[in-house]
Amino acid sequence: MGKDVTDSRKRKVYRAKSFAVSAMACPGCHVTLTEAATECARCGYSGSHTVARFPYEAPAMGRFIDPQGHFSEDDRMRIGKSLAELAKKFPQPRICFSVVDLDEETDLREFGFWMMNASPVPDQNEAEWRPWTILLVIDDINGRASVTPGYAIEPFLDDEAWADLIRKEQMHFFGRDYVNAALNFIQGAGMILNQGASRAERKIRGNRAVGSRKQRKEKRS
Amino acid sequence: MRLLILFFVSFLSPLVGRESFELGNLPPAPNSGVYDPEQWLTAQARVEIEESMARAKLNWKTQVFLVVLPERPEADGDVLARAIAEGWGAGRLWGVAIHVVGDPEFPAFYAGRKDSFGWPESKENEFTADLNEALADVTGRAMREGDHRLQVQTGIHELSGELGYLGIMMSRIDRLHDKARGEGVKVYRKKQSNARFIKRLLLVLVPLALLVVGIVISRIRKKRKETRVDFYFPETSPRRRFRAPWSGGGDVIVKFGSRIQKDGSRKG
Repeated sequence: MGKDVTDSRKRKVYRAKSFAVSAMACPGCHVTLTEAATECARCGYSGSHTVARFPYEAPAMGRFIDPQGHFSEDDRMRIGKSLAELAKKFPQPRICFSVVDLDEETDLREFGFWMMNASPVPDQNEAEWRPWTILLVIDDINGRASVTPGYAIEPFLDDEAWADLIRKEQMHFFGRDYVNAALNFIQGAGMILNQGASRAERKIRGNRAVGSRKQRKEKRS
Repeated sequence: MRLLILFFVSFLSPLVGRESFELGNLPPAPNSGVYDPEQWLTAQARVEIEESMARAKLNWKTQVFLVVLPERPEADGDVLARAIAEGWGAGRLWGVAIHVVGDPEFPAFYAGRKDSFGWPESKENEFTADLNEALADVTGRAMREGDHRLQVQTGIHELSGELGYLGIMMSRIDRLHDKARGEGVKVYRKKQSNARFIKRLLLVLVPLALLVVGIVISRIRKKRKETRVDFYFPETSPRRRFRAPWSGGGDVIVKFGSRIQKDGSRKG
């Protein structure tokens, strides 16, 4: 499918909505949105609210955003290897791990939203990676984890699946064994991406079938 | 006048007393098996004959009849004998001796059997041949006697004996045939039962096999999908929202236990 899709990608840009399985939610009040909007219809939230919420510079996006050093060099190497394996199957998505200590009142989802959008984009390379980024934010002190995807990979991901994956690894998270939590998270991510890929394939096949039926109908008429 | 009437009555009575012994008009079966209305047999001979017949009936389930007639019947001997046997309730094997008083061609001896015993054809034919042979022997032995009464007596005795022997043979063949049939039925039933069992087994196994094959194929396909290489997701027009350039945020959050203890201190 890879090359096929690449060719399709060059030829055709699909509507994200046609693939999306997870609903959009407001980072502020968490209400579900039916359509993408510049601000939340309920609470008026937009990206500008994060400036006040997080009045400091966002760290650069990297594979490990880990100011407290939860991941050792060895840990990073192991995780790096696992990510490289995943990249052989799915070259586009990038998984980043951020372990921070936040205030209890801080909403981790909003924090992820802020990081993804406020983190600097120094070059074209990062500009290409950022929409394909899957950011796992771990609030170490409060014991919480959240997943924030970029626009490009978002339509192919299932939020419920992420939640299930983190819950499955609760033991590692609770034990602050982040390296194993990360390794298992990568493995789980592979399955979630696989499911997204299958859905995408089916959708595209379906669209092609509809398209060719339409063409045949038009030809006849 | 009275004497004249008596004369005519005495002269005519034998004629009047004679029942017509013809096909389709047989008299009722005699209890002893001996039909001798004019008492041609002596009492002694009758007793011996009846004993032979009774023994044959009791021991070997073989019915023998003796019919003593004053004149030749119209029907053919074979036909009449069968009619007598069947009409007087003979079983599967019977013998009939017919004697016409004063007729040098009699006594005549007949034997017969039910048309089919349900045996294999070869066995049926063999038995019929044995029966005919026995009858020939009976006739031969009986006719060696010089006297008609002795011929009848000997004939009945021999006929009872021969048919008795054949009756034993018949029972043996019946038993063997039933056993063979029973085994055959058992084999047949076992075959039927096996066939039914196989059918039921197939009814279960075939869908099960299809299910297993389906599961295996599904797993192989799943495995193939899991071992994707170099998969590119299609490009989509992003659902930009909240004026955010790179991500609209996510709604996934899972708690796994705070480090902050009740007293506000941090553990770990």
